Amino acid sequence: MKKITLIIALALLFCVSSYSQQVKKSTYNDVLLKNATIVTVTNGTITGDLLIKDGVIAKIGKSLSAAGATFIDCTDKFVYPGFIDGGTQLGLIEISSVSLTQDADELGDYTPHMQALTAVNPNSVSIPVTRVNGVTTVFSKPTGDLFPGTGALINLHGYTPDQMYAGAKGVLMNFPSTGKRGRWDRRSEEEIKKDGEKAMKKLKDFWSQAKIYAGINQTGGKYNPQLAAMVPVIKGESPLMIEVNKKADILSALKWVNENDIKVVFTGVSDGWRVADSLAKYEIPVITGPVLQVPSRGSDKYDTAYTNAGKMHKAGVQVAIRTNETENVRNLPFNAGFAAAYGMGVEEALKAITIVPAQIFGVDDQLGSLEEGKVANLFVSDGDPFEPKTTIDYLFIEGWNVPMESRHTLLYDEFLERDPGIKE
Amino acid sequence: MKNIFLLFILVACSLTLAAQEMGDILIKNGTVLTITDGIKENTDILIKNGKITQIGENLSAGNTKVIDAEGKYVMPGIIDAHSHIALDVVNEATSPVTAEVWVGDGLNPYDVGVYRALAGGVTISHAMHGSANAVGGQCETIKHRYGVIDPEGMRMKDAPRTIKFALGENPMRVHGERNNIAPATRMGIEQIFRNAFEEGKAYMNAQKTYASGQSDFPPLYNLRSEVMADILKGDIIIHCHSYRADEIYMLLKVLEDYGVKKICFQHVNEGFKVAPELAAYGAHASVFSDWWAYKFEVYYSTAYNAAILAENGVVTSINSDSGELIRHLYHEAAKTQRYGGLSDNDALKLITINPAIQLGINDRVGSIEVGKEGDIAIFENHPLSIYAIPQQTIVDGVVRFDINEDQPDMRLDVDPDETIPAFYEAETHSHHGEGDRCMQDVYEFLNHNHKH
Amino acid sequence: MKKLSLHLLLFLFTPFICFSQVDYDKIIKATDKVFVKDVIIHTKPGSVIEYGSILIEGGIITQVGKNLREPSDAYILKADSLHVYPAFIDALSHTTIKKKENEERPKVKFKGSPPDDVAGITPGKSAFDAIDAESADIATMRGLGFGISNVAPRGRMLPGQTAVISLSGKTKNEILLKENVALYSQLRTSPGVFPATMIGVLSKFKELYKQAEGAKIHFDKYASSPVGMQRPSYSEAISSMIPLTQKQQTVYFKAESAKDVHRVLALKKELDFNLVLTDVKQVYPVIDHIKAANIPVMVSLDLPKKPEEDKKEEEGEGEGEEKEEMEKEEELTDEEMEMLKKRKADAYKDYVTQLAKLEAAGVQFGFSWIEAKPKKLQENMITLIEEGLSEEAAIRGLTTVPAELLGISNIAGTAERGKLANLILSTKPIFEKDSKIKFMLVDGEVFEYEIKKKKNKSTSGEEVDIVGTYIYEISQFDASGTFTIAKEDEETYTLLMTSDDDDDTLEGTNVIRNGNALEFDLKITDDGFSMDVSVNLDFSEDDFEGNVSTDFGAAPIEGTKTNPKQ
Repeated sequence: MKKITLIIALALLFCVSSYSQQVKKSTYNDVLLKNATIVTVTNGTITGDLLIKDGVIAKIGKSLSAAGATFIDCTDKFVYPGFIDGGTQLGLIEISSVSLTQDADELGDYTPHMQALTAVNPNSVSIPVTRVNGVTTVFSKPTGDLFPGTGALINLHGYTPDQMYAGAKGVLMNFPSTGKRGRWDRRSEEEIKKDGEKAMKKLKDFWSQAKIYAGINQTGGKYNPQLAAMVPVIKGESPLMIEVNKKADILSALKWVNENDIKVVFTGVSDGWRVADSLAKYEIPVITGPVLQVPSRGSDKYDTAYTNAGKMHKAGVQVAIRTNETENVRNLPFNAGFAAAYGMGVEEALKAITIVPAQIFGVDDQLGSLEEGKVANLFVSDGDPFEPKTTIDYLFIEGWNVPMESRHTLLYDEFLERDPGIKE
Repeated sequence: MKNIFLLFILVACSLTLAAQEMGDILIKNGTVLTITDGIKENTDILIKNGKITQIGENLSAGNTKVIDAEGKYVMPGIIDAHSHIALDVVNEATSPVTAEVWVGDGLNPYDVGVYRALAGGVTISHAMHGSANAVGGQCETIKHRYGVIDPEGMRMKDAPRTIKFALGENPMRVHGERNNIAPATRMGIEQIFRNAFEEGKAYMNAQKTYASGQSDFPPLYNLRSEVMADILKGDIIIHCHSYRADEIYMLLKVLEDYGVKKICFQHVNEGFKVAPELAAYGAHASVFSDWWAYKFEVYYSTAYNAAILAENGVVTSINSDSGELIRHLYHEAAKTQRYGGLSDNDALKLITINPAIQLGINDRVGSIEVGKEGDIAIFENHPLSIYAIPQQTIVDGVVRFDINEDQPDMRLDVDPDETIPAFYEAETHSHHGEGDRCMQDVYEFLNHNHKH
Repeated sequence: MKKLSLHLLLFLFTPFICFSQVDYDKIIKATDKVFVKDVIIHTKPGSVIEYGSILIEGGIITQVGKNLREPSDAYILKADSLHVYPAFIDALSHTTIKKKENEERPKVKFKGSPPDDVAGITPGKSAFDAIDAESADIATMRGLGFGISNVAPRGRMLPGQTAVISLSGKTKNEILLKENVALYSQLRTSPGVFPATMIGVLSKFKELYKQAEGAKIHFDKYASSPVGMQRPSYSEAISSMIPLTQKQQTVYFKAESAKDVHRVLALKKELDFNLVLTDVKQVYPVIDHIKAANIPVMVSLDLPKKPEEDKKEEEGEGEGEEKEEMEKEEELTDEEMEMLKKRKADAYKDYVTQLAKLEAAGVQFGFSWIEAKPKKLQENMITLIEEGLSEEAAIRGLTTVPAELLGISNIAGTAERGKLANLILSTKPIFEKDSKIKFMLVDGEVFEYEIKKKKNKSTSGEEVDIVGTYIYEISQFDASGTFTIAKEDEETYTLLMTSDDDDDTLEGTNVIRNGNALEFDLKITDDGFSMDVSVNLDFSEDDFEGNVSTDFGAAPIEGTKTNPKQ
């Protein structure tokens, strides 16, 4: 009898621990998605089946069968490639007002050697919250001064940074800004200009050292991690990700890029529509956003940020969309949705959070669309995933069948009908 | 002599007209989302002198301006129960209790943020004091009559008085952590309320004594106690910035002790944990759709908050507290369909009739009914769709936003010494923890004291 | 009755030298009678006596008119064909009151309830106590045409009581015309303590006002029957507000923007006190409201800069398209720029035409000088007149309107018999271009100004005499003080600089004069830090303009000679 009570007690304890906001484990086996509307992004939309095997999309076709595979009926459902957010701090910041949970911003102007991948917390509570909205991959990046560090593309599943790493890194640069930093910025126009010039000088000084370093024999010399981080950029092997927003700054950045002949990606680019032709002409890829953002100037049209991505795209710029968020990267599809509504169109907005960022990060052979052989980052929904009303039913990251759970769903489950309820 | 008198009347009339500007308009053939009376297809709405006078088919009204809403969705003007737009001052942060100040004294009708809100279908917002103090200042319910530059013309006349209270980290940080005076804890915050209510009670008694002739002279006038007394009398609705379940519960108990009924919790991220208690007290909740984790006290929250609260019978709204979110509250409301599966009408209630109830103006606005004020938002696509685009926004029968008339530079006031307005790099709340305007003006105050 | 008051005035202004020691360091004046002969007298707005004369005795105008007999014992002022105006009255300024910079603010534990003086609540404080009769401001104001100033104390929300002084340059006791004339208030906050915001200021004002109303009841009851009653004991601030609540006093409320005007009008509507809106810079949006409330308004003559005409863009057709886009300075699209430039030009127009509109609306207006620089009076007034303001209204606003509001219209504001001999004598009608003040009379004292032909800066023919003392202002930093330039020999100049913020005197080094330009360096040291400053000045007549530059940036500086040729 005692034993039974003990067992019951233990079982209860288990129940309680299932309420302790831990997300269930993912499962890994072959899965066959049957009778789905498959939005491939790169090869149109087809009705058929999709087989996930060994972490990749093994096959897309009609009437597939696979022995031993879990069968999921996707009649009236849609399959989409996982969304990719081209710029976030996900995993680097847990609670933004608690400074010791912030790992995005190292001290110093020149810290390109700071590796986001080192500090990304695979167990961040925000990760499950993000992925259940269909965001499977994000570029997580340090923030801060001139060269804040090196960001990394990560899949939102895994227990170590290496398990999460999605195969692309990028050195970041904040191009010297001549804008105000915020409402509290009381600098005069003159002071802002001066600060901009100072920062430009810093940039040039650092750049010339980095160039020297890249040009000398590094095995013989002294190892300089700060400059070493710049070598792939200087050599044009990997793009420099330049955060730049104001028109005048974008133009000076373009000039600087042309002078230095390197591969770049512009990020932010809120004035992009004003210089879209130049961006297109120099074939500068852009990761813009958030789309849900107030206009940068009092005189800008209310929908400036909504329409920016679409206008750049129309001018021929390769445009990806990001949220630049931390705990609410889950809003990526909604940002894309707004861009779609305000001129970009659904198809292009979808590309801007799937194949385009994959191309920009050079991982389009692996991610960004539903194609045979690509990594199985995808989700199943009952409708257009940009629509808030749509439910996402299944989520796969690198073939892992990830439970549709997060702290947010678990709290819902626990508290919708609280027990005990109200007590006199 | 008569003429002079007439002139006076004319001047007086033109002023009130300018201030309140009521319009006539006929909205034809829209899909009308009434909120309180279902969906009416192909329906016309006639607004006369700022009020909805008729809802029906094939209405006509002589020379009245007509908006063709065929194929469009027509809903009541959106109401934001928590914002800080159109305010020059948000926080008088100097004391844990500043009931005496009133943000209505600091309205800024020139704020282009009002236009941007209109461009998101929002016709009314609750311009609130910040959250630096346990008892903050009084707030103001404003109508988005953008273009009227008299602050009087922005006020929603006769809307109930409201006041801001705040719990948790913000008042603790400002006073305890930075200024070294109570409250430094949630225990301290409780006692700030009790003390302020006691002072209000004592003041009321002193006034009674004077009024009954038992004292020769009035008690020293005290604006703070006047306001606390008015709360006790039930003349002011409390809107309380709050996050954690325990602190929400604490305030309920304090209010119960003082017999104060009118309370709407703001943000109330952990409201879902005490939803039955909130419902039982008749307390309201005005929440973010999905903000969380920007500070410790919102780490254990859920985007399903609105849904849980609503399902538990709490009058719930979704607010912005942000010049950005206020531009797409329709989308914020739509998120409750993903996070909790609310029906279309229940989701729309969160930004219409429910915030109206919370502000005590539901007899005037918040739904499309005959007799209500002519505040309307017209959308291309259903407002809860991600593809919704606000077309026209009408306040008191006057079109204040029309997508076809939109221009760059809709500012009302231009500095003659400046050509190009300053460019602001984007800030997101998450990077600053307190980037929301709830704490605006506080840093100036804190930094000043920090220097000394 | 008129005669009686005239005698009284004469008596008042007769110096009491009867039994005092004779001071031979002072020149004893030959006569206190002045006869201004053959002038065009603009006695009051809209009324002119062509070629009349004025007799002044003991600082008072005793006769005005045509064909006056020239007295044999008077000083004859050779003012043939000059235009005579009543001297201007400054409706409110901080004339002679020094700015307190970097004041050490006391530590307050409870920031929500600081002592009244820390909060900036000193309604009982008299401006007169703070007035510095030696201040160079007096000569400056006088040189610009002013005879009387209504001086407000500096401070925060309730700095105190204003005092009306004569700008005769005499001793402190002699210049006082009226004390505690009005209460001065502004929406200025008290950093770090309550009221730290404008809404705090407004709530505090309401509270104080109602406390004063209550206190009045208490005082009155106690005065009639104190037996068994608690003795009234109220703070000085509350007691000082009682006259306002009893409509025995007026508050001059500074309200620069239209928004602030609305706020102050709402306050007035709620509490109902006597109000003069003061230092209003943006009045055009609120003219109807001011008119409806029937409130006099003192406008700030601080006009925005006139927008420059668009420079024709140089056509760079030959250059490549890419260059064009990359090199373009314009921040926005052409369409946006055009719109913004137009809006700026429209905004400028709103400001320069607002006085004409105020006049047309029939609102009583004058001018105050809290923020605006009196130095720009003539230049700005000419602009306003070009934009539709009548000269008559302009002069009214500078003379009779303030005289009436300050309760001194019986002694000042017009050039009529019995009034104080406060007169402007100008070469042309005062607001005609190039009109110069040749003489100022204040309390009958005569001040003469040398009139020079305006030099063309580009043809640097004549050199200006730069020796003398100047008051400089670096408006960007709110800094001011004096430069004293002396000549050592033909080529060497020395320069001493003082600041209104402290007592230090700095000496300029490397002083080089080149035509009408002067360059010098300064080294500023403070607490172990030092900063090198170089200054470039360009002199013309009695003014200079130039730049102060440091490693951290440059700022414009301007200045005026303190004692231009008397």
